Amino acid sequence: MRILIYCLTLLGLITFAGAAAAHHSFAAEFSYELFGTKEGKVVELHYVNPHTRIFVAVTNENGEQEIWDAQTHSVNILFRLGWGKDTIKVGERVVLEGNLGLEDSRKIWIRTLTMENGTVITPDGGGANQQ
Amino acid sequence: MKTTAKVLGFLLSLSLASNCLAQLQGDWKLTVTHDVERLGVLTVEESDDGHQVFVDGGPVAFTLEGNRLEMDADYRDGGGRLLNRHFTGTLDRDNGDSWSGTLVADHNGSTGTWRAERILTEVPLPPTPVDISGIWSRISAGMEKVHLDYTASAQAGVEDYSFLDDPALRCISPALVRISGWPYPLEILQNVQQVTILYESYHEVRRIFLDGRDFPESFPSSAMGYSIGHWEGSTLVVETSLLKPSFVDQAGQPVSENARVIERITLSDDGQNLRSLLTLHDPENYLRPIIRFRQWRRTPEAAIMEYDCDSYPFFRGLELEGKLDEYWERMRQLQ
Repeated sequence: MRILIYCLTLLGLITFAGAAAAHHSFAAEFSYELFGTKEGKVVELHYVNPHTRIFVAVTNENGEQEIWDAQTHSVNILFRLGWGKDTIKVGERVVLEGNLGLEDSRKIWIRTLTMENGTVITPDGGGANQQ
Repeated sequence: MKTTAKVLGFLLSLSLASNCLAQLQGDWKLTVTHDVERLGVLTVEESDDGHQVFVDGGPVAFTLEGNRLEMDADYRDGGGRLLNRHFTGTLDRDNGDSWSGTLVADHNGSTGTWRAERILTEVPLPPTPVDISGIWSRISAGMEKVHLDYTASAQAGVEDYSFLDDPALRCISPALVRISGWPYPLEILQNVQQVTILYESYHEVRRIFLDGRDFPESFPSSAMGYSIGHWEGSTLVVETSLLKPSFVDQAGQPVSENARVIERITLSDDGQNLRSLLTLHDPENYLRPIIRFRQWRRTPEAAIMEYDCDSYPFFRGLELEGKLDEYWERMRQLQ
């Protein structure tokens, strides 16, 4: 039910979110074609403007730890989309799915974020699917 | 014989098209419904090379055969991707010279409608101020025309632009032209002497002086500049100068320190919509004025939030990406 409420709320506000993404250049940093999934632990959470950024420690195929830079809308926009300050916490394990950064950078624009308890949060794709 | 007839026919169609375009010269208000309502200005001009057509000051491909026209105008989507709208439509000469038709976005096939009405030269009217105070939320930022009529130096600047140059990512104000189209609410306070605009974005504040003063002889330039205004009928006309160099949008179209911005702000008849026809006069960067036609709706229920901005995550991201040195070097070159 919690997942459903999140999705319905966010779908209802998707028009706002689409407009909201129109001021920073997603296209300059992220791919429209390449998508990926990364699982790891939140090591830094910056719930701020102009973008919310979550740095996540991910263990790669060689067993080495990499820090991934996950981005989504500003705190003001996320608040209006239903996020709260406790939606994500440092130390939590998350699964990120989204648009990968250009030039093989360890960046991802969040399309879905799955929490340890299975809750799925979908901040609309950050402009990738708008218009 | 057949070839000669074809050539004559082609020349005749060129002549007719040219004559048709000659009748269409001038500015047209463009209203496009493509996800939301977007306003723009379509301009038809005669030049040495024939006729040129512009949307919001940027050149567009345009053909007219009889009453049927086709046009391609580029734009950026919500994420900054360069896209194109293909317009088709007809000219209705019996109905006050108006155009209307449909459009399709090339990349995903989404469709919309459009119409254009001639912008008549306004007769100067005595001031009749209207109440534009309140909280307003953006409907659209306009047509978002990307390719503009650049000078050579501006063209080079646009081609060299990187997201590293975007001041907004490090919590520096994106400045007047860009911030006027951002998707955050704003609040307007108004009295006879002054209109004050409080932007949620970057905590920006504009004081538009209506007391008849001129621009100061010496004053520091700033992101939002120095604004003076007056009422022409019920239109608030605002002139802004003393701007710091900035950008028109996230694609790096430059705004110089000698730029001048004119905004014509109007309230809809029902008082629920606010529109601003913003014209950027910046001959250092553009061969013709650039237009951005903003639109908001009245939202008294909207709460203006604090804009809590932190540049640390941007720099931490650059550090992780190995781009900090490149960032510092670009900033040194821009100084």
